Amino acid sequence: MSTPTHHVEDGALLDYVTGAASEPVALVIACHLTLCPKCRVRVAADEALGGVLIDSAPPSALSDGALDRMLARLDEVPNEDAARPAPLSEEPLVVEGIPLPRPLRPYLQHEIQSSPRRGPLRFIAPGVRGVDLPTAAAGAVRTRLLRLSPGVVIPRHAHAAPELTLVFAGGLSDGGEHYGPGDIRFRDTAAVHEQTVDADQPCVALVVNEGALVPQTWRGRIASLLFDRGLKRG
Amino acid sequence: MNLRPRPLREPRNPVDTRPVAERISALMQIQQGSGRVTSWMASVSVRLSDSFTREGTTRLGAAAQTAHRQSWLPLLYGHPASRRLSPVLASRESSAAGIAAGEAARDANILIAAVARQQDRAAFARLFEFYCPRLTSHLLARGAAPATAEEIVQDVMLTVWRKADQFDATRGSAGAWIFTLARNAFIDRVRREHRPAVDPSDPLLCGAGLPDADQSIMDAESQRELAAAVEALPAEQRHVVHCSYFQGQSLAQISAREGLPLGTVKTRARLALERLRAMVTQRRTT
Repeated sequence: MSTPTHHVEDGALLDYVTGAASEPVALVIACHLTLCPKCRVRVAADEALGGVLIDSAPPSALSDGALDRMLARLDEVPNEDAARPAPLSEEPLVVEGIPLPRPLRPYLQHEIQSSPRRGPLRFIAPGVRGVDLPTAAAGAVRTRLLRLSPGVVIPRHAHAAPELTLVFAGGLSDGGEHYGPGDIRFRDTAAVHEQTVDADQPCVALVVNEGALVPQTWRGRIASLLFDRGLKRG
Repeated sequence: MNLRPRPLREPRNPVDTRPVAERISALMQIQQGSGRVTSWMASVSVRLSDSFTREGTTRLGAAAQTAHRQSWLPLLYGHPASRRLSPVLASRESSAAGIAAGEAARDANILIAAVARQQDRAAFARLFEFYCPRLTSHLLARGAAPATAEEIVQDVMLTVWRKADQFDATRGSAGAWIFTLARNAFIDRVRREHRPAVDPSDPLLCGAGLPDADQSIMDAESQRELAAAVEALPAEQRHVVHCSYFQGQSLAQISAREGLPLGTVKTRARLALERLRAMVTQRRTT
């Protein structure tokens, strides 16, 4: 089994570890970590650092009776069952025959259950099907699981805000680089790019767009109309 | 690729298996004997009397000496009473936060093991007295209201009490575990968001069979070195590390607040992390 070659950049990984990353970005990173032992080692190291910083943090005053209140709670019966939603299924998470990392499950379970035969993916543009994932995110952020048909080209475009792509199956080429399963792609706003899906098989990917596409050509304009349908303009 | 199952191995520093309660009570006996018992200690001894005086008083002597030598004392740093315990401690406290972090780490592992093994309330109280004031500072710095901070600390420590048996010292330090619990509780309670996380039983988990993929052995010594290395970072790198870990700010927020280009903040974070991570991973591979 091959491991990914394109990894999470340090700054984004740090935001994930400290909890500052937004939910959609944290979702992409958690999926990448599932597929990438190398980045899991980096996370473990960064969390160890968090532990050291907590251990040597300046203590604030312990309020009166805090320990007593704490000790009084130790015998409480956990009522997790009442507070939590129904447990998620333990079966493998598979969409269109592609096994997907478990962090996606809470976002996909409802769609999978509500249309067991058609599957969760819907038409977005010719050669592109996908589903919006209900992540908590402000403004125009959009988290989508996409299935791109073999050979599809997403015409030259830029982005109003950063874009994050994680490939689960198949592959795509972007700016002279190839991205295969587990590879993560950070895209800044300035860069104009064109993405080409591998000709031999479809590509399934998780894409987070923090803003609308900025098309560069008339074909791109049509594509952006289709891609950004229903986008909340933030 | 090596796919043999990860060997079960002992932690590098085997933990002291004597009940922590025994060590605590032994130490308290020393203090009482020398006529310096404080009202705080008396109140603790009443509160926790059954669990430790019963055991401790019968096994003094050698136990008392080892308890004193194998210091769990830094766990008391947060409490003023601890300063009266030992002049050695007082000087350590002022000299190096690194030592405190290193010893706290080892001692917290021992205390969590005691909670897991025998639901040791005295050990839990020590953990609480060490971590509650530190977690509170951290959560307030993150922007939690004082009441919320206390709720989160209680939730975190209740999880420590209930899941102590799931804590695996070979995979990370107690502090790291508690840091992640606090982070997740903050996201859940304050931001009211879901925290996506890797599922260790995910069939897609890649490289789970590799011996080193999910292990991060942080013994007390490496904890201490890491704490010292944080102190030794250039001031601007240490500032970024502090803002992101302690205040929970994203690099973008730091850049906006300080009026620095995002690239500069990212570079500082990367330089700091490269140096600090190397220390953790070197330990793992040597």
